Amino acid sequence: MRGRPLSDLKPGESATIVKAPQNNERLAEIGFVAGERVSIMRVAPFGDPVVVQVLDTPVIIRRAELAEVLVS
Amino acid sequence: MTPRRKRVALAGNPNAGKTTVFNALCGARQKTGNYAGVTVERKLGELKQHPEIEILDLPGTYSLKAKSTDEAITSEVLMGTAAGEEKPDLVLTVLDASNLKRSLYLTLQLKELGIPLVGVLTMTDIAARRGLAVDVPALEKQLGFPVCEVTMATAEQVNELARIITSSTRPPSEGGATRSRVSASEVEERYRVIDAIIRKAVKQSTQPKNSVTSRIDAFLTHRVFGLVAFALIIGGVFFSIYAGARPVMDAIDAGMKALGAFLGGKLEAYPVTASLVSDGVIAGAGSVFVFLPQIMILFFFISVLEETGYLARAAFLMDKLLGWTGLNGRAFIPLLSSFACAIPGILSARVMPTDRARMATILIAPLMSCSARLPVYVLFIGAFIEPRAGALWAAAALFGMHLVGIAVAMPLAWLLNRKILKTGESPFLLELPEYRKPYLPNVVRRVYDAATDFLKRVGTVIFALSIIIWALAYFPHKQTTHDSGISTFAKSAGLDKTDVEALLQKTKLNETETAKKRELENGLRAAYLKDSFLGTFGRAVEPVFRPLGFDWKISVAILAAFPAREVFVSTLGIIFSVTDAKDDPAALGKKLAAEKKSDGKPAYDMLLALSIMIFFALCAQCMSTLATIRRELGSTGWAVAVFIAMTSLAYVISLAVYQVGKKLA
Repeated sequence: MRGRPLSDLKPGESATIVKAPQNNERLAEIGFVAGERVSIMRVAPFGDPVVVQVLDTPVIIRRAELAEVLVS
Repeated sequence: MTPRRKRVALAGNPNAGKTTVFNALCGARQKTGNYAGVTVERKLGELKQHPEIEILDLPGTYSLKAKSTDEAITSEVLMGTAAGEEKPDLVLTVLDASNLKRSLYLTLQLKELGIPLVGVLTMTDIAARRGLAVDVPALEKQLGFPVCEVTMATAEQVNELARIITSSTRPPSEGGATRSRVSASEVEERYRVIDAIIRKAVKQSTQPKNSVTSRIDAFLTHRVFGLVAFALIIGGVFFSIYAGARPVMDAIDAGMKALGAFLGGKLEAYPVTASLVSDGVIAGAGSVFVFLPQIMILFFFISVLEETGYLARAAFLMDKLLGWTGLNGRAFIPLLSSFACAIPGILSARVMPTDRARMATILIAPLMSCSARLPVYVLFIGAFIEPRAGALWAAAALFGMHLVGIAVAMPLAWLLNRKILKTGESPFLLELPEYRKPYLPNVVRRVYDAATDFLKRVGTVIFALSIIIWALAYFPHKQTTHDSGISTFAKSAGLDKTDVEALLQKTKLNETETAKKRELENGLRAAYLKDSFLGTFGRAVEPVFRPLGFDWKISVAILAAFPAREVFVSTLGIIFSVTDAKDDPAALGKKLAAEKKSDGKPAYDMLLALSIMIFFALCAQCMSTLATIRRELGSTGWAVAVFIAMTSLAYVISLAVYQVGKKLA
């Protein structure tokens, strides 16, 4: 199954990760691994960063870093 | 030889509550907060009533594969690769019940190390609100080591944990080192194990409703309301610091003046000692001491913002403003803590993910307006802006002064990141913690610590420098100065020299004589100051600062403040006290506003006040900060560069403001 980048998700939308980022180990370590549910909760006033719900907790993260996480 | 102490280390994710557990176990008072990265150094304590057991608090990390300097400290200690240290005998792995999966990731890595583990379960209250219940015996069974709950850190919970610590005696087994390369599949493998543990040990009872935190965040992180709320919060803080402290400050000021007058009267027979006490100690160190209320209010708000978890929201709202400069989002917290003091700010730059990003953060941290600049702002705003524009504008000016440093720091950060250090993009991750009611004892402790630190500074460094400055302003106190002062006065008043001397001795005076005598006394004091070591030196350096609008008195005070900023205020206090007759107990600000030039015009005005404050906002007048930069970067060169860059910036920008302002006026 081909996924789309997590950064394309709209606020309020949730999805399941199909592929963990390959070059950003920390992202995988905090829970961006295949099978986990994620959702974009909030977007900052100037469009970046966003708050992503992962492992049931909200994490602030810049959009550019989410491009490598594929979801479906 | 004394037997080796048992070493117990605390490990866990950022903001999992390690330091709270540490404080409970050791009866210590380390600083805690509600955001990631409060602890950036290892802290050592000993278990209460068990001096043979030492407890090590470590910076939080998500993984043993460190991604920043503070995390490297943790993984080196835990893996036994830290210089001169053996592996700990026992590791307390902090399990955040509201974030259990992520906590277990690090725990599984620790288990692979082969060190005996004890789980410390925290935040079960937050988990319960989300409808999650942790089955402790089931968790123990899955993990294969004891787990102890300490959410509330009650005496009972802490004693139970202490009992487990003291009774565990297993020596560390030689576990395998973690492999240095972890593939994504390996991370996923660990998470599969974790999922299996969670299924057996955690029960989801109810579906969580919209939590209080997310309802507050819907407002506080909203695109529009969030920014309005941020502006209101920061504005409110500055208004409280400015206006709220006034009455207390005035009371302290009046008390100091009364003390000065009282001691001055007692010591009348010993003029040098009397001057030392009232002009040196009270007018010097005392004029800094009156700013105690402002410092306490500032730290009260900092502590409340830290405790509630709002700082992470502020980082979220403001990240884009940092982003264009190439600063990593994590820089927000070190920079924000630099508003209290640059030193903890520089230390907390250890949370930065790369060395270069850390360096850029350290180099601009001293430009954030620290609490030592507060007395200077409040003094000049109170003397020159508030009387004309009112308290609201005064508070706005105080806020504005804090923006000056940021406005200069941002382009500099851009230059450092994009052109000089060429800092690459580095990942930014920050968990959004649950809101928490500020824990009052923590707030009280923070304010108390800040107040005692401030009083210690006033009592030691500033006290000592005040005495030196007083001595320089008092001596040599020559007879020739007195004589020429008398003859100048005699000439201008059309009197004979002997009549002038007689006036000085006379005690019963009519109204005109009283005014004359005061004029004479003030003239003599001014002459003594002008001929003092300080005056001679001041007039020599005055040309350097003249273009900025500074006279010799301001110039001397600026130079005296290079070791520590507050000395500026104490030096002005001394200068204006030695030139004033004792019976004029006006506050320093009033004296500054009343000071006249030889042609009778006011010596200082709003434009000069602005020039002075901008100089202070930008200048590197703090030896401790420079020493900290040198230590943290391991380089004298960078510390010197910071000093030169900031001092030149201060000079050039103050110069521009003063000259442009003069043209416009």
